[in-house]
Amino acid sequence: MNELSIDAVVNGQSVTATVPANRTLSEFLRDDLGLTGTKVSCALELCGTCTVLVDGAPVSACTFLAAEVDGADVLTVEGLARDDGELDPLQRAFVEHGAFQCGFCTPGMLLTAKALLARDPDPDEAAIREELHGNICRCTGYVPIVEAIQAAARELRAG
Amino acid sequence: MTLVDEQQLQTIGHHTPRVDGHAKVTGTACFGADIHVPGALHAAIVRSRLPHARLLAVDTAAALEAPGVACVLTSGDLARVLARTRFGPVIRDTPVLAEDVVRYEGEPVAVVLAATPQAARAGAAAVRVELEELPVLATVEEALAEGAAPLHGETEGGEFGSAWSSSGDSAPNVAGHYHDLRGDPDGALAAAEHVFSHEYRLAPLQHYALENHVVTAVPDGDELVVHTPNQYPFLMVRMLAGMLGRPESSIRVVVPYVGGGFGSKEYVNVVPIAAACAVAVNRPVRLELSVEESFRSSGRHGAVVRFTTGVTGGRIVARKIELLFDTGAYADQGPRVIRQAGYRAPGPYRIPNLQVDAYAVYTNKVPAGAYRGFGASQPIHGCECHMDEIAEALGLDPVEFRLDNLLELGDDFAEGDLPLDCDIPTSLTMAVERTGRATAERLPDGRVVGVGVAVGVKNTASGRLPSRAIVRLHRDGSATVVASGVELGQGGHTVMAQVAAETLGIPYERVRVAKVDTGTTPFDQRTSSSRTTVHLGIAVQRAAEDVLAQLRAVAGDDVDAADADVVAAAVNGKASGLGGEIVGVGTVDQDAPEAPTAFGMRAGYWEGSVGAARVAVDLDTGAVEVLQYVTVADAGRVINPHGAHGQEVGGAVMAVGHALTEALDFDGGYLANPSPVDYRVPLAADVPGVVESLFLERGDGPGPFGSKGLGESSIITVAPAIANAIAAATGVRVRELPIRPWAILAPTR
Repeated sequence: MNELSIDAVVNGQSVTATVPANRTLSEFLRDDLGLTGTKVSCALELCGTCTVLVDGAPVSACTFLAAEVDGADVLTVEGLARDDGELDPLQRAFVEHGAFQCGFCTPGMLLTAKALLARDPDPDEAAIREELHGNICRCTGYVPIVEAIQAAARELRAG
Repeated sequence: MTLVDEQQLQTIGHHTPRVDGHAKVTGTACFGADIHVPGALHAAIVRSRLPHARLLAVDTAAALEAPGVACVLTSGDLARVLARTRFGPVIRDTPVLAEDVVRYEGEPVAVVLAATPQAARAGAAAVRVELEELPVLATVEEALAEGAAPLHGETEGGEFGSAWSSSGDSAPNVAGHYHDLRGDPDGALAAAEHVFSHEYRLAPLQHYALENHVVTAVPDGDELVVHTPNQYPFLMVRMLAGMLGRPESSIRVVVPYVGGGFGSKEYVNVVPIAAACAVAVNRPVRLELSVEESFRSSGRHGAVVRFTTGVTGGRIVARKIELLFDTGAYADQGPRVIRQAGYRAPGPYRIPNLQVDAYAVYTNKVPAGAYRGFGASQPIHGCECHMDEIAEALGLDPVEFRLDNLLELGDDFAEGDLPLDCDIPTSLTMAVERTGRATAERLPDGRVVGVGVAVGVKNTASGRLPSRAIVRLHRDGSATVVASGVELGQGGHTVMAQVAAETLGIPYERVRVAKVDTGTTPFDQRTSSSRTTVHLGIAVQRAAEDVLAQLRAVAGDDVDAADADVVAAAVNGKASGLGGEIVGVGTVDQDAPEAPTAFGMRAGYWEGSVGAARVAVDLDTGAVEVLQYVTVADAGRVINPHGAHGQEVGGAVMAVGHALTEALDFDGGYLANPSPVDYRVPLAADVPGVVESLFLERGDGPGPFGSKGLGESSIITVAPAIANAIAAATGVRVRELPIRPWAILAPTR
């Protein structure tokens, strides 16, 4: 198997590694870097559980190749809170609004929402639901997730 | 019962963030797949490609040559380390790995162990399985037909005791039969003014918890430690001890956070497979299923439900019910599910003459087992569609027809059982006040709108299953709850922390809940049946009261645990005998479980389910939009408002999928859609525009502070409420679930 080298920034930390060409980003994050906050479910690029941001854009880490993050900036759920531990407004809003139950979809939901709010600071409910089309939640019925994203957006706009 | 003054409660009933909140939003919450044990071999399962066949040979030669493969194990290899090679909760009919016959497509035949998951999967693909095809029983009708070959020979009873059947019959392919006869239904039907008969069919379903099944089994000296997300950790201990011929004390089941259960993580075959392999090779073994394999592990029973009702003067005079549940190739929980289904099937109505027969039927399909609602959803769907069809035929308003026949608070559902402690008529009235009763209204875009309702009750926590809890009050006034309630996402750990904090009088933030480990956390029957808040909640409350009693015995009757100095002085005092911390124990025993009903056990409480749906239907495309859904739960007292609404709303949205989109599609015995690509669960945009969850709170539940459980309340009545709303809007009655657009259009074209 061909091996490829990666020089990337993951959650603000510089990372260099050599990986097999077929190593997926989720395997690289979870098994090589020990960042197990990123969850894998369908491995079909469908459920959104494994969503992480690569240069700010959401990708499905289950099928995205690790070698493709060479030169990129990767954000996972472990990188959302500030270094001093203060939670991101989205994380706080998810706790405050009961936007998860089992929590398995939560890392992917948070990162999808993070990318949405970076692009659109004031999304309406329809825009949020549309953006969440690729993230399945089986527990909450989505209602509190939408509320939490709206609340975080308000907080971010208020500065 | 005295109502607790809400003003005095500090955390109960108040908005309280989840104990697992921080861990779950920062990615630090540990789930089963996050557990890595050094030196573990990775397992991949070789599965049957046929739904029914004789297993002639397993050729492992090519797999053993594959890079990284350590070994390939078949049933013969496992038999050498197993005292018992079959398992099953009610009937011990399930081989750990297939022996001489495979009975469903995807049945585990062999296991490849390798250094990496990739190598294990490649090895599994290289195993050649020689099969000789046998005739497939694809439906309950085929399995029950005259002359159908039995799928099983002799079997024995499982962890829940012997095979359950109230009729004593032994028809081939019947895994369980529930029978109830009250009064003279045939006579009453013959004398009734009107008699109505309808049949409804419900597709089999997947739980589709996002977390796939995963087990890491670790032999550690004379212990076997099994890390796995499971709702039944102590039953797993009992099962594994019996299978391995070891004492229960040598088996530890450690339960991390569970990424969704809904009934899927109970008796699934992954635990016995991983444990047997780990013992066979005396090394840690990790088995993680793919989503497709999870689809091939368990599901909800597809069912045919038949209702016949006699009505005289607008009152039900008799009802006969037949339920055929497709339990698949192995009984799993099927015999228990149909027993509950049969008991709940008549609905919460006054029915003087009744006959119910419910059957769990073997077929060559993926085994079906527990599913949120546990046998209530299928018959209640039939019952509530049938009620609307009767009302329509008689020209009655469906809400009024129900109100005229509903049991009221305190009435007997069945003589000798706990009288109904939920108020269905009031709940129904609350629901339709929100949706209105308008039918066949038209939207400006041309779509037709209709409202439908449905009601049901579920006897829950029957027999009051045992729970035990320990509360440790530390010298600084913080506390730890040690108990075996599994956190599935339902918020069980948060409720336990709230109950402990409230009882001790300490801030909620000062309470931690220990991880479930059967080696150290005390016995709890199981995390299911909406029972954790009630039974484990009482055990935690009693344990906290025990702590307070010990503290007061040393420090005086007027002290409480909120004063850390008092606590420190008490546990450090030479004479206290408290030994550095105060350990309280609380117990809930099995309590007078028997009842003189066909079901045989007394309900712990009744979980009422009431829903009302407003839908819009596009008559050109058949597309259904749920505009509004209202669910009402008779909750006793809400412990955690977010948690309670979350259970209600989440359950309702899950069942919107059951109503409109979800079905395991079988072609003969072959499952055509074992993935979320073609098994369509609700997405964010599919959710009703408005989902409201309302509570009735009388503070009269048997749980702590007058609470009840409500994990399964909303889900039971969603599909029939939507089916009835569609019928009200369009005049088309679809007697199948899910309700597909073409089924709505077909009769109108």
